[in-house]
Amino acid sequence: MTKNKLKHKSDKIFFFTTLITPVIVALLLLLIIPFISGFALSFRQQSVSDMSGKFIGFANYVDILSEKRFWRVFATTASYTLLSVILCTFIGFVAALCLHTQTPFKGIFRAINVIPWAAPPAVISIIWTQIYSKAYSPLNDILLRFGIVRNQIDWLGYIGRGYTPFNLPLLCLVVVYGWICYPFVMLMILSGLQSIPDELYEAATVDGARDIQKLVYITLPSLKPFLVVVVTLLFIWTFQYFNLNYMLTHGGPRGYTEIFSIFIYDTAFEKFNFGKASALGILMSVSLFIPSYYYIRLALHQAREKRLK
Amino acid sequence: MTLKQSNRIKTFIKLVIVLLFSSFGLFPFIWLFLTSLKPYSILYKLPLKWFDKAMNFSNYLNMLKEVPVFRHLFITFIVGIFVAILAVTISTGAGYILSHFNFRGNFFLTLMLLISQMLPQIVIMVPLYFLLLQLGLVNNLVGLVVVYTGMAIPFSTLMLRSYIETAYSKNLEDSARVDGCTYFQIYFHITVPLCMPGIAAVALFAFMIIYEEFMWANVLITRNSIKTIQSALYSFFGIYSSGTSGGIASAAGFVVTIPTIILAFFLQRYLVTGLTAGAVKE
Repeated sequence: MTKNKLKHKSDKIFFFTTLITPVIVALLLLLIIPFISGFALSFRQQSVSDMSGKFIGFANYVDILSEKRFWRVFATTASYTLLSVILCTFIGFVAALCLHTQTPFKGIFRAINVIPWAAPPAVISIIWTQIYSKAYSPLNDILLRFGIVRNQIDWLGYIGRGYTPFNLPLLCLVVVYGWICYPFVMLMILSGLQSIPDELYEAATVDGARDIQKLVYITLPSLKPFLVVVVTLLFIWTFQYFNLNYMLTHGGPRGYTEIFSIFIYDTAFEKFNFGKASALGILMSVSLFIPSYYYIRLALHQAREKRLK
Repeated sequence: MTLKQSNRIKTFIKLVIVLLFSSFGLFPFIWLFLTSLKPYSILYKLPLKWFDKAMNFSNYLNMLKEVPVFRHLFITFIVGIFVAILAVTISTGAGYILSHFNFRGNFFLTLMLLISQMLPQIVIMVPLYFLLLQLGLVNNLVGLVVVYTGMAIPFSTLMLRSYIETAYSKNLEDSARVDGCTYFQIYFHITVPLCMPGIAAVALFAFMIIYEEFMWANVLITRNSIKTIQSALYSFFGIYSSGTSGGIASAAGFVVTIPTIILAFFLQRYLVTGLTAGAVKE
């Protein structure tokens, strides 16, 4: 009996080790070690002019924080993130509310509104390059036909009177991001709406509540946990977003739309200053610490709750 | 105003709003399709024409001649399949352990997975690029597979953990153990077959993420002949490559979108749970 138990135990340990080792190795090699070595690299001189890798303390950080460009990038990123999150959440929320209750062709509309979320980035850039172009843009065409503007607008090249965090090219990119991400919000809110019991609404109807009152006193409070997750996640994603901003404007015109990730990319792979780029990466992680901490706490809490059930 | 009338008005207003945002969502694709049907001669003529008698499918034929879209699609499929199989193999095991074993590192490992899921790829890109450069894996599809597998593991493990947790009753395992099955036998003969729908969905989801990945592909592969589809499309039709016709670009874009729409259709449920793995109750 004891021999059997012993065999069982060693079998268990062998099984456990075999299954858990690959994931630990992968995490270490591809995420944890790179992050730590990036942290180390941020204190070193490692650029195309000087690949020595000698330790220079906080010089990279001082260099970044004393640079005007960095603070402009930060302002641009903050404004881009804030506006994008508001836009996605607003459209997605309205879409979910409309498509939850009985509407004609509900299924078809739901399917249509998932497509932007699924479309690949390179294709999105092909489409929006055309929409925002100057001469052959359908957007300009509509505006001209209805006499809203007199001249064609160069959407992604508009310079105006100087940089502001709310310049036109950046707003155009916000619209693109809103277009990509509202389906995500819609799907999340829809699954939230399904979790609200119908009895609540029926009781409210009996009590003579109006639609607006139902929205404010039943729907919004019940959706709060879902909205918190949506907004936190969107914030984290938008803050580090890269694809379409890189593809559509490359940070231009004159750096008007340069956001954090573009700045890092430019420093690392166009100016080849790897030390400084690593320092920028660390600064980005620090900026994302609070929302990530909040999100992870939420996730762990709900995982535990689920297990207890 | 009777109740019926007011309900009808409400439905009408709702329908108007639905049409409004649905056309915002769909219009760009309609424009893409229209552009893909316009030959060069009418595409760049002002005033802009939305429809024209001369519209045809010539751009699609020219695309086949001028741009090796299918070659790059093939490369992307190979990379995606490798990554999906690798990531799912590793993640199923890890997900099983995380959901069935109570050990001291369980919480810590889950925490690590969540952190790596939140960590911006661009932050680890510089050091990882350096590492791959030393290993000779830059401009090499193996390097891309390795990076993508690391990217896919956190969300696949979290998704599979919660799937395996509820896929079947634990009594099944207990009775198998009483009958003398080893842990490996239980895993391969009970867990894996019973969790196959979840495993397949996660594999497809990982494939879709890889299919749409651009940043790493753009940095790691600079040789034109082995680019994956997103960075290939970008290098053919991006802002720095004027000269190619917008019609051909749109035709290629339309072809490349089709697989993702099919995938999204199958994965509707997972489009959200995959990305929020762990944080939302189902």
